[in-house]
Amino acid sequence: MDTIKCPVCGEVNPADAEFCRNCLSRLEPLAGAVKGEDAPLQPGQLPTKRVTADLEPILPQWLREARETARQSASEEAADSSSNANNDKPVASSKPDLLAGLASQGKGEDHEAEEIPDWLVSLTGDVPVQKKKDEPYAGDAQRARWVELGGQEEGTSSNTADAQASSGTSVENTAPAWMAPQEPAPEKDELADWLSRANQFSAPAPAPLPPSDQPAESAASTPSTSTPSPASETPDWLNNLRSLRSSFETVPSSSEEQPALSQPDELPASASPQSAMVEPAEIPDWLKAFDQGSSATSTYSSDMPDWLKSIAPQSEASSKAEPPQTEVSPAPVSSETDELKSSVESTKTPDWLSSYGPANPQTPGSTPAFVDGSLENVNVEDLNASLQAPDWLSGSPSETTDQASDEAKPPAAAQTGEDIAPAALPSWVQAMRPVESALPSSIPQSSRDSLLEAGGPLAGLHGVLPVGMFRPTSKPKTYSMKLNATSDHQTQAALLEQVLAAETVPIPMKAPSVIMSQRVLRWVIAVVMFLVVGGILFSGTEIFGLPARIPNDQTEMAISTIEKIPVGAPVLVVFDYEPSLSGEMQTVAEPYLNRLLLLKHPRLTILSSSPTGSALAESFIAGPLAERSYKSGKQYIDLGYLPGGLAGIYDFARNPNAVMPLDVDGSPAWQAAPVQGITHFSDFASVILLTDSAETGRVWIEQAGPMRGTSSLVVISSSQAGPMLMPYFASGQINGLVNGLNDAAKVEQANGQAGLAGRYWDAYSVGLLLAAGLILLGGLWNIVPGIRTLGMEKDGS
Amino acid sequence: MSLLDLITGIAAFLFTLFIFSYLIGDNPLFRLAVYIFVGVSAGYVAAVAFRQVLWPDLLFPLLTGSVAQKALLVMPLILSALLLTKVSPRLTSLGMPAMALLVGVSAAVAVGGAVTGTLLPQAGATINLFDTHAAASVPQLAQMMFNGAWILAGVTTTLVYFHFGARTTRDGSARRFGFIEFLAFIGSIFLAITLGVLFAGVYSAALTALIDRFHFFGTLFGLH
Repeated sequence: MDTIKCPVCGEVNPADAEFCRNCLSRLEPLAGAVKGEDAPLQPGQLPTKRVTADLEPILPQWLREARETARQSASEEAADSSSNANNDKPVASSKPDLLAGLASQGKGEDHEAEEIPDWLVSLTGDVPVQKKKDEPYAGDAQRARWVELGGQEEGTSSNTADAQASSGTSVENTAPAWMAPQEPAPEKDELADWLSRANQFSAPAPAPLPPSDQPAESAASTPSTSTPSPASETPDWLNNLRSLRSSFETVPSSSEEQPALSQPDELPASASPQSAMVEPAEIPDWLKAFDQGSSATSTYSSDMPDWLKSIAPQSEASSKAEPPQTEVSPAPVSSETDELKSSVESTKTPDWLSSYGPANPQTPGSTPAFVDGSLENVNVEDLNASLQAPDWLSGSPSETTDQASDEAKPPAAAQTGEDIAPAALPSWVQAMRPVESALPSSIPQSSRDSLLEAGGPLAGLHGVLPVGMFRPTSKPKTYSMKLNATSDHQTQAALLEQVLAAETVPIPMKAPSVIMSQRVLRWVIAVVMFLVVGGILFSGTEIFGLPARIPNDQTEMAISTIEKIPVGAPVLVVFDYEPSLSGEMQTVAEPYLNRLLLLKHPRLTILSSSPTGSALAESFIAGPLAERSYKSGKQYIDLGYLPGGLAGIYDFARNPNAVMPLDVDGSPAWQAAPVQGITHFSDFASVILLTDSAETGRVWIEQAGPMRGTSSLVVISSSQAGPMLMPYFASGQINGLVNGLNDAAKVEQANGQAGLAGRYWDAYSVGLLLAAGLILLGGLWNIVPGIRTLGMEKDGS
Repeated sequence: MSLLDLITGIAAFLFTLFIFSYLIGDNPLFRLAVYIFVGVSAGYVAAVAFRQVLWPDLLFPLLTGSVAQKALLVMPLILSALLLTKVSPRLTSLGMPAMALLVGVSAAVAVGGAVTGTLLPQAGATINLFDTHAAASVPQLAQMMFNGAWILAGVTTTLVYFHFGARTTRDGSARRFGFIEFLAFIGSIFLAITLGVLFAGVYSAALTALIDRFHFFGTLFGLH
C-alpha cells in the first residue's frame, strides 16, 4: 500500500489522502494539482456551502463542551415549552448553539461568571442571577443569541411563541424591540448595538402591531419576516433583496394562520394574502411599494453586475440539478408565491416602474428576475452564498422554517458533525482558495517536487514559489557598447589630445646670456653714470652755463612774491616731502628760503602733513638755513605733524588754532612769538609749500587755497611733481612755483649768490645728456636687430 | 666735524652703498639697509603719532581736561579702539564703522576740493586764455590765442582720447568713429608728451638726489 509522509509532522498517511490525519496539513504542495474538495474553483463556480457547525471538530475543547451543554439545555427548554404550550410544532432545539456551552461556565464558579461578560453568558439562554433584574439586557441578550445561532432558533421562537408568552420572561426576552416599547434603553455595547441595528433592519413590517392585539401565532410568525441579515455589512440592494425574499417566504405562513379581517391596514401586503384580492385601482401605496420592490428585484437582470448575472442562472441551475438544495426550499412558499405573483401581475405597473424593468423581457437569453417558477427554482441560499456572506449570518428563514417544521430532522451539524472531513473549510474560506485559471499550469513536475523549502523561516513548507518561476517575458533591450563618434567628434578629440600633449612639453627658457648682458649693461650704465656725474661734480667744472631767467615765469613770480611779503610777517612753511628726496628738496628750497629769510626775516610757522616732515624741517633749518640762525620759539615754531590727510588740511585751513593747539614740544603753540596774532589761515602773509608729490601739492591747493585770502601761495616742488603743478600756476591758484634744480639755479641767480644748484649744474646737465644719449643708443640698438630681421625675412622670401 | 657727524656720515655712506649694491642684484646688504630703514621709519612714525597726536589730542585731555572735553573725546576714543581691532582678523569687522567714517569723510572732502579747487578753476583758466580783453597788444593777443589754442587742443584731444565709446565692425572688432579716432590720436600725442615730461621730471629728481649723495660723500671725505 502506497503511503505518503507528512512533510510537517512526518506522519505516514495513505497515498490518496490529501491531508495529514495527524496534523491536518496538506500532504501535497499547493502548487500541485489539488483534488476533491480542495480542487480549485473554476471561474463562475460557487463555493460549496458549509455550515458553521461543520467546523465543530476543529473547535477548541472548551468551545465544543460549551456547545454541547447548550444543545442539551436548549433541548430541555424546548421539551418544557412544548409540554406547557398547546403548540404541536416542534421546537428547533436541535439547532446548534455555538455559544450554548457558555451556560455551564456561566453557572459555574462566580469568578468565572465575572470573567465572562454577561451578554455572553446570556446568549446561552440562562440569564445570570445577578442580571435577572436587568431587564433591558435581557432583550439584547436574546437577540444576540438569536443572531449567534444564525436565526435557527427563530423558528423555534416563532413556533413556540405561546409557550414563551406563558413563560413569563421568555416573552420579553424573545420579543423584538418593537414589542417592548416600555423597555428602558439598554446599555450600549458593540454587539448589542450591532444586533439592534440588525433587528431594526429586518423587522420593519410588524412594528405597528400592538403586542396585545396580535395573536400569538401572528406574533410568532411576524418575526419570521424579519429575517436577520447583516445589514451593516451588506449593500442596500442585497438588503432589499432579502427583505423581498423574506416577504415572499412569509406570506404563506402568515396567510395560513392569520385571518384577513384581523390584519390591520398598516400591515404590508406581503403579510396578508387578502391584498391579492384588492382591485388594481385600489392598490394602496404600500402595495405599490411592494410592486416597486418586485420590479426592483426584476431589475437585477439589467442592473445587476455581470458577475451577479452569471451567478443567477447558475444558482437556478444548481437548484434544479441538486435535489437536496431544492428540498431546502419549502413547497408552500412556492405555492403562496405563485398567488402573490398573480396578484402582482394583475396590478398595473406604473410607467416609472416599467422603466426599471428589463429592456426586452421576451428576449431569449435574458432571464428576468422573477418569472414563473423562478422563485421555485432559485435557491436563495446559493444567492446568499454567492454574495460571500458568512454562514452564520446567511441562515435563511426558509431554511429555518424548514428546519423548524421538520423537527424530526436532526440538525445538520448534529448529523454531519462527526462525518465532516478534517480541516473542512467554510465556503467563504473556500472562496479564497486559488482559482484554477490563476494557477500556473506550466510548472514542470520537477519544479513542483523541488518546491519544498529547505531553509529559512519557510523551511518544511511546500508550495513556496521559487524565484525562478517568474521570468521576464521579454528580453531587455541591449545597447551597443560602441561609441558613436562622428568625424567632428574625432577631430575635436584629436585636437584635445594635441592640447594636452602640448601642456606636457616643457617651455624652453630664454638663454641666460641675455640676462647676463642686461646685468652687465646695467653695471656699465651705472658705472658710466657714477664716473661721469661724480667726476664732473668733484672736478668743479663749469661747462654748462646756468639757466637764463625768464620774465613772468613761475620762478620769477615766486621771487616776486617774496618781494610782496612784509618784513617780519608770519609765513607758514609746509614740509611735505619724504626723506628719500630730501637732497633735491633742500637744494631746490635752499636759495628761495635763504632769499626770504635774508630779505624779509619772516616769523616762520613750520607744519607738515607727513610724520617725517617735522624732522626734515629741523634738519633743513639746522643745515642749509643754518646761516640764518633761526631759533625755535623765537623766529620760528614747529607745529609738528598734522594728522588727517586732506581732511586735516581742510580743518587746519578753517581753524588752525583749534586743530594744532600745541607745538612739536607739546607747548601751547599759538602763544609763541612766531605766531602772535594768527587766528585764521589767511593771517599768514604767505604759505610756502615744499612737496615732492603732485598729489600733496594738489591737496593743499584744493583744500587750503580758497581760505588763504590775500596771502600768497608758493610751491617749491621736486622735478617729478612740477609738471603736474604747472596748470595751477597757469590758472593763478598758486602765485609761484620753484620746480627742481633748474628753477633753483634761477633763484640763485636772482640771489646773486652761488649755491648748491650752481654747484650741481654741470653734473646735472651731464647726467641729463648722458641719460638722453643712453636712451637714444638703446633705441638704436633695438632698431638695428629689427632692420636685420626684416632684411633676413626679405632674403628668405 | 664732530664725532657724531662723522659717525652719522659713515653710517649714511654705508647705507648708501648698501642700497647701491642692488645694481648687482638682490643681496643681504640691500635687504639690511631696507629693513633698517623701514624699521626706523615705522618707529619714528609711531613715536610721532603718539607724541604729537594721541597724547596731546586724546589721552592728555581725557586725563586732565574738563568734563566737556572728555565728553567730546568719547567718540574719538571709541572709534580709535575700534580701529585697533583691525589688527585681529576675527575682530576686524568691528573696525568697519571707524573705517567707514574715515573713508566717507575723506571722499567727501576730496570730491569737494576737486570740484572747487581743480575742476572749476582749471576749466575757467582754459576758457580765459581766449579773453581778448586781457591782451594789451596785438602780439600779446596773438600769443595768448596761440597758447590758448594749444592748451585747448591738448585738453580737448586728451579728453577725447579717454572716450572709449565704439561700435562693432563687420569683422567683429570695435572701432571708434573716424573723427573721434582722429582727435583721440592727437590726444595720445599730448599724453605722450606729458608722460615724457613726467618721466624726465622723475629722472631729474633722481639725478639731483644722486648728485646730492655724491656731494655728501665729497663733503664727508673732503674731496671738495
